[in-house]
Amino acid sequence: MKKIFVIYGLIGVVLISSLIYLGFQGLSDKTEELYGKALDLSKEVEENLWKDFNFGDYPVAIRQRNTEYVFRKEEMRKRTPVLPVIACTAYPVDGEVNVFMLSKEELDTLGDFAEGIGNEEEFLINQFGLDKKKMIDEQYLSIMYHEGLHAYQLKYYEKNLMNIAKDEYKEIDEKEVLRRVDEEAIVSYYEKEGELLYQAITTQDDKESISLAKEYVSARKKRIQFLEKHWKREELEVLKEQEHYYELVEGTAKYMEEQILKYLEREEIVEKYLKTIKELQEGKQKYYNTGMGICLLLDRFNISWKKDAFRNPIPLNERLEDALEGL
Amino acid sequence: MGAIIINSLREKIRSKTIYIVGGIGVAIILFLALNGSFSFDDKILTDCHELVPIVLVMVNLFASILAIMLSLSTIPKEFERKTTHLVLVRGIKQWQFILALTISNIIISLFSIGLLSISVIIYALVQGEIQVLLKILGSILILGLNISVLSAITSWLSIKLPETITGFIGILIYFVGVFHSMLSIFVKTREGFSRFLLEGLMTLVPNFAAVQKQSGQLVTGNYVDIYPLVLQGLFLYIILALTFVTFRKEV
Repeated sequence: MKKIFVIYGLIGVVLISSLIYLGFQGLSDKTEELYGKALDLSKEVEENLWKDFNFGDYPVAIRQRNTEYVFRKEEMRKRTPVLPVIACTAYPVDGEVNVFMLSKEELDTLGDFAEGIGNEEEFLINQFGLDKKKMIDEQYLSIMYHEGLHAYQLKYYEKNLMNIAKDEYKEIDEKEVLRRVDEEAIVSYYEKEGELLYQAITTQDDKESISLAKEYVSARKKRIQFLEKHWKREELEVLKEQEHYYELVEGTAKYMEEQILKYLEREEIVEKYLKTIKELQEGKQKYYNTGMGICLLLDRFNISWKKDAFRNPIPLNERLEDALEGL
Repeated sequence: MGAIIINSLREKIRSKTIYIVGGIGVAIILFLALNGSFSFDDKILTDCHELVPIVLVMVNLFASILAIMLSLSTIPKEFERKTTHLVLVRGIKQWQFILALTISNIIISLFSIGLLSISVIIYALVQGEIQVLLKILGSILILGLNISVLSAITSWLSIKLPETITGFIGILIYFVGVFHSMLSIFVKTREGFSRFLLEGLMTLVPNFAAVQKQSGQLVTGNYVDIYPLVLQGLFLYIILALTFVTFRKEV
């Protein structure tokens, strides 16, 4: 009898020791290596992609299970996770903006989960890790830079950006307001805009690009005019505010992702990114895409746009309209 | 103890329930897998490697229901039949008897997931994907861990509770465990006492989702995290230890 208890006790010791060992295993070499790569890129990115933004200026807290590994250039220290939820974001900790990431392995495992669940079917499938396409290293780096740009926005321009988002949390119930207008008509407005923006970015011919970009600006105005007839004034204000805020804050961050991927010569993924511009998505996600698209056009028609993007945070579409004037 | 396990297993293997429910399960799973249409990311899935995890979701669901069904009445029935009198007079302790019955429940539940897995194997063979069979086997072994935990919890609950309540709690634990990751995120959005309470409750429920995920990761060739598997092993260990100290009054 005693023997059984001894054996049982030993099994328990083995299980607990394994858990402790696995818990203390630390961050994978792969994730550390990728942080190193991101850091190596920081100078080139600052010189060639976005002046004043240096990724290395921000501590990067990478979460693996219940530990955060905070990297500050060559230094690394552990801490208990600061955020109550698992997320990739930027947030101030003790007065300093941190970039929050998940380890490469956790991000591979979580897939879409970190960004929210699309629908029940996706959730069920996600439970079993159906998405076998592992995130490639360059994508992980581009996400680090996406969050890094948010850290830059927060550090230097928080006030400017927060002023735009007076109603940030007052999201429009799209389905409800769409029910009050001709849903097909509004969808066709958005689709037309997406197509024009996509064509304006992808055409090699500058003249054609200008003409398509102008058409895009005008199509966008027509949509607003159409909505003015059907929506309440305050609803339209919230919509404009959301477009302004998310295109500027998230659109530029997605643009940064795209630029990193382009810089690292992952053209096949860049192509997918660009295609998202013409794929109409529900909710705020569509502003990430249109915002990125407008940034790409601004690169073409107003190369110095980044200097003032957050300092004078006018809507990106207005900045584009200004850039197209006289062309 | 070995004799009790073998006798209990013999009795269960002779019962038609497992074959009827298992057979219906295999038929439904195969029908859905071969004729159903599944989409992900707006694309219709046709690749066998993408569909195998979905078939595994179904196997897991049926196997979990079977594990609860097969485990909830074993212990109460033995007490009702007064088999305990015959066993206990032979010097066997009550905890040994209960542990033996729990182990037999776990073994039969593992047998049922093995039976249901025939559907995945047939599916892979029909699709001509023999090379994926080994991964499927590994995946089923991982899922076996969840099934063992569910069977052990149901067995342990059945020591004290009536069958209907045991079944209900078993199903509830299964669903909370399957949606564990999602519910944990929801709990973290709460504040104050409700968060403290909900976090406590979530700790008591095994994270079936994390283990399921690893099973899918294995089949799709992704990184498999050992940590949730060891944690589930510890959960099983604790539940089995609880059967040592939970007693039922003899009638």
